[in-house]
Amino acid sequence: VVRLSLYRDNIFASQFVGLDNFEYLVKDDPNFWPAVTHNALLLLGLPIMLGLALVVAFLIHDGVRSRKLSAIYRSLVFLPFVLSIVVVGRIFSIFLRSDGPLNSFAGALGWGVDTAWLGNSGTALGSVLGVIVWREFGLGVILFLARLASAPEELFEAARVEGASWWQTLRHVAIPQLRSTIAFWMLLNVIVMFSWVFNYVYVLTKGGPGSATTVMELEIYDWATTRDQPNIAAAMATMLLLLVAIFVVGQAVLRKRLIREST
Amino acid sequence: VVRRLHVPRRLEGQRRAPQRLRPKSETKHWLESKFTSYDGKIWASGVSGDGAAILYNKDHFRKAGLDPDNPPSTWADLVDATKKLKAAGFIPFSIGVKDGFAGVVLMNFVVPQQAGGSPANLLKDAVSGEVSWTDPRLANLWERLEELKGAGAFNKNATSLEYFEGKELFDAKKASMTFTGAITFAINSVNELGEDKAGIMAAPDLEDKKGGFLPGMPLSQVITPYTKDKEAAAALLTWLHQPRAQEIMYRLSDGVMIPVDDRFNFDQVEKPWLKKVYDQVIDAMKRDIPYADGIVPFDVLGEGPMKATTLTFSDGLAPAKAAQMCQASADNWRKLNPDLIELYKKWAV
Repeated sequence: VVRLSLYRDNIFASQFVGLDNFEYLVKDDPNFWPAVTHNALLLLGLPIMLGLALVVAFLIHDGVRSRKLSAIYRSLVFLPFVLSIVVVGRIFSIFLRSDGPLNSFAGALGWGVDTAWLGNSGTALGSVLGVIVWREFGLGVILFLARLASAPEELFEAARVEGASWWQTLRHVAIPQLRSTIAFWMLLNVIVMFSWVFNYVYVLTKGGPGSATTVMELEIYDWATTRDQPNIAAAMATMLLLLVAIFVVGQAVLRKRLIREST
Repeated sequence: VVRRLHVPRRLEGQRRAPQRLRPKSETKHWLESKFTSYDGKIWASGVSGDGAAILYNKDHFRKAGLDPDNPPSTWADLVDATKKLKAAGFIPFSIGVKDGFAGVVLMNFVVPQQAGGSPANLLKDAVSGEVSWTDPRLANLWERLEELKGAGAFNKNATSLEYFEGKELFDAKKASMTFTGAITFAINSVNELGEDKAGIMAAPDLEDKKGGFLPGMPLSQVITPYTKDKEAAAALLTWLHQPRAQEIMYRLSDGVMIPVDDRFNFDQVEKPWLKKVYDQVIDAMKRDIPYADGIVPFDVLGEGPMKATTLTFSDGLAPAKAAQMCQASADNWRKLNPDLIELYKKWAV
């Protein structure tokens, strides 16, 4: 792919063009910067997803004593993650229509809304992010619950005996126990937000309206298929790889430092 | 040239195969061959015809006091009908703009008249940079769309629906008219709903610029370089053009597949409305009135007219801005495909 990114095909031959494809993307492609920006904005969803997963995991761990009930809650939370993204995308495409169930429900509560959540430049990216968070946070809950189950129960008992509140127990007992799991899951989600969001965006909005929800993966797909410019697609893919590599290395360095500090 | 129009890359070395494998005694009967020719050679075989159409619901027309047997033939009549249908409580036009394709479809009913009959050269010039997309003949599309929008012509959930979902609203009798990008769908809708319930209308006159046509093109098949037995593939494509094969396709598809060979006996088409549609599509092929996506590379359409259509509805993009967006898209295409421009200009249509 990297080699391909340094060439440009014309109708008769392939020609070495150095970094021209990269230059074209950065300087001339009207969709490049929106795509990079949207990937970056999707990263902002990670703290929301993390907070939600931590709270739900700790609620189930701390608050549900019945094993059966706990299994039901875990299944319910994990269910969206098991569903096909295409199925989830189609369902939410209907759910978020201007005349869809969400707006009907809001109308029944007295909020007259007719926003096309995925068809409005102002709300489309946030709606896509909402769908991603809804489907992906269940995995975090299950990972956190698995880790909490193996944590010494005496720690939580001691916190209760000492009169720690629910929030204090989560903050000072559960989260330190979950540190490495959180780091792993966050790394996974950084990769999701950069490299695995194609299915969501393609099914929900195809990058629209205009370029309001386009992401780097979708641009790579468009360049390689409908726009028939595999060299530009390769240049974009190379940039995506570099970007993810920077995040992964950065996260690994941060993780090492955290572990060093905690020991 | 054709490779950027959805035909697989790397046709080099095999490019004469379709021509060589089909004798002129055969191809002279092909009504669509000018659409599949480049540099004097035929590259593909269109075994059936296709086109674009405006579908309308006759019951809605009756209830709104409009004549179902004489649908609007001028733009002014169309806008007037829109208002009457709306006043009667119907959604005048169903449309889905999430993917933006509806704008390309609408282009087929505005640009040919503005171009003086055939849109082919105007669209080719706009792609190759000799005419700007802000030229009034092309930019007028966005004014017309704005006018229809202003008249309340479209369903409110247009930005939530894709093109086909918009068309489905018509089939569900929830809208009075719809633009279809494939006449095959239009014929199918009339077959399904009944000819007393649905009809097909042609492009309207735009003031003094003559309409009355249904844009038409062939649905083409090519023999790719990867085809193992090219002789067999050519024999199949040749056979599909034989009168017997064309008749079988016509009958089995209930008229949806439009014959495109002059050896087919068009007198066997029993339904008068269908005969009229066939005449109009074949006439469009003879008069070079293809649909826009048959002329303009999809790359240009996708980044220009399609995105502009979506934004017109989602963000209230002004007509002038929409035209500029199309121009920028064509500029970008030329920048990335300098090797194709001259070849594109030589394209036979």
